[in-house]
Amino acid sequence: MNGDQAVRTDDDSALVARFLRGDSAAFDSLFVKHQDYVYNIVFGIVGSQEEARDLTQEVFLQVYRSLPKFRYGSRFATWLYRIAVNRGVDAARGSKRWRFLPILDEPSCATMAAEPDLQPESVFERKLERDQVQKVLMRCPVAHREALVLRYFRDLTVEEIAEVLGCSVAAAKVRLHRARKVFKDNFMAMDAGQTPGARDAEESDAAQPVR
Amino acid sequence: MLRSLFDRLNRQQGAPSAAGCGFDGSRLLAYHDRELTGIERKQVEAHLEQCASCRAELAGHDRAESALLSAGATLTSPGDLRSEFYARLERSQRRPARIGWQVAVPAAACAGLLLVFGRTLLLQPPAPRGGVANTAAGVAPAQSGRLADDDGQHKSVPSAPVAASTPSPSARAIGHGMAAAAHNATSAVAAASTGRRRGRFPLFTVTIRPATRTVAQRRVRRPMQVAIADVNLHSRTAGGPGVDGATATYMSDTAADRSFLFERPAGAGLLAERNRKTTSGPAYSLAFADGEPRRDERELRDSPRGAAVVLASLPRADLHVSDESRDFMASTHIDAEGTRRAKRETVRVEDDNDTAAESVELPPIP
Repeated sequence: MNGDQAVRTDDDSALVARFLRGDSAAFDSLFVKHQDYVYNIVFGIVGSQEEARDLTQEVFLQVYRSLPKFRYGSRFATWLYRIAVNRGVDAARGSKRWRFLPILDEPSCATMAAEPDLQPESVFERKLERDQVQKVLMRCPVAHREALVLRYFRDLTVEEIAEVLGCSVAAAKVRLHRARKVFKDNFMAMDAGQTPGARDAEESDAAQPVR
Repeated sequence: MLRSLFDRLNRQQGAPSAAGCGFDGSRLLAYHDRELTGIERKQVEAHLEQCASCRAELAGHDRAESALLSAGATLTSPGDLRSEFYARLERSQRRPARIGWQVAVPAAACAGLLLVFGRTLLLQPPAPRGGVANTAAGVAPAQSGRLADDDGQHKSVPSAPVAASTPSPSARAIGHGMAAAAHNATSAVAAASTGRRRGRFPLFTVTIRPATRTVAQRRVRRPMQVAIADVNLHSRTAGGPGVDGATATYMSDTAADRSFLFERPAGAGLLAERNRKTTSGPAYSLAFADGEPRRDERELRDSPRGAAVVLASLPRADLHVSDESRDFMASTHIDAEGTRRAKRETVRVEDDNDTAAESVELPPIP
């Protein structure tokens, strides 16, 4: 696994170097390789497919323009995720200020159709579960969301999370622990609310998420 | 050492388990993560054996984690993200420079100049190429104006004569600079500027209308009244709740007439462009989708100051006005059923240092 990661990191550096030498195909490789990760990160933070799509493009536009200034001192992926997290957090905080409450996208047929190798039922169940996770995430503070997304959507270690968030490892660890606790509490509360006969509880939970 | 710091932090927060049995929640989490060894691990296990609520807590962590992990694993980006990105990249490269503050200010200044001297300038031969460098001359008075503005001075000296007192070749160069900027920005139109006072920055409007979007930008540099005069949605009756077109006009106390804010003609497709990275002040943008309900919020980012108007969530449209700190100030809601059901609102945009808002509701448009 670690060996794998090292290879991938080297790949990134080589691709960045090729892009800076004028090879635009190298940028495309970076894009293809990282687009899902970036999308996952921003979607987890903002909770809207459309916004995540928009933000993902903006992240890569920024990367495209800023790559000449990229320093090899840090890993490309770390740098990329930092941009993604910042964009996502900005958007999430901005929309909060604008009183646009997180609205979850309706289950889209296109998304489901995009997974043809799976049984419709299981796709639907997975989608439901994913929506539920996203709902819970949206009840968590933004600072918690970014830690959770990096940990679970991108499988980063605490050390890597600290690097992306630009904080100490201890701070990242504390933040992640708190985030997990808050997520778990919200998750359990929502889960309990969805059992038959407990719909009211669900609504009151929604009004007062655990913070 | 980190570990002890972390433990201390957790102790400070109390971090009790949700169970209320007083057991340290962070230890439970550490146990869950298999970070404990030896005696610590055995202690937790011993506690778990007798504490049902901590067992439930642990099970909760298990479920929450596996849900998070599987959610992360199943999420993929939309299929057309890549092609969309390259289209956007190409668009951004085709447009060499956003009409930004540095361009818009001289542009606005010379728009006024052109109004006064346009006839003469048009009859004169073009300025030498080197003259473009003089465009910076257009920035200088503008910047001093801004500084004076921050000091809160109010001098009633018309700005046009100040600019006009500069030698005419320089003015000509500025005029060419603006023309070049307007030309480069794919049919961008820079207009306006009615600065009446020195020490107060002139108002100006920059309208950018490339093929795919309509964005109007406007910087407000003085206490003023902005009234949303009219919002018009052209509903399509045959095709459901879709919106074919929308126009919005605003009225300010300084410009006596109504100014056009944005327009979207019928049948022109999707308009959904956000203006995030503007450095030239507030932007007003409009977004809607033809024929399909869609949540769409357009907001202003990085706006140094001023007012922003956002028309969002069409076909159910909300028109928002915010102040420079992006705090919510007022909104107008429009239903899709009627073609015109906008409330009128008056929003007071205070001086740069004072963002207090006052909202006056006027009777709805009959």
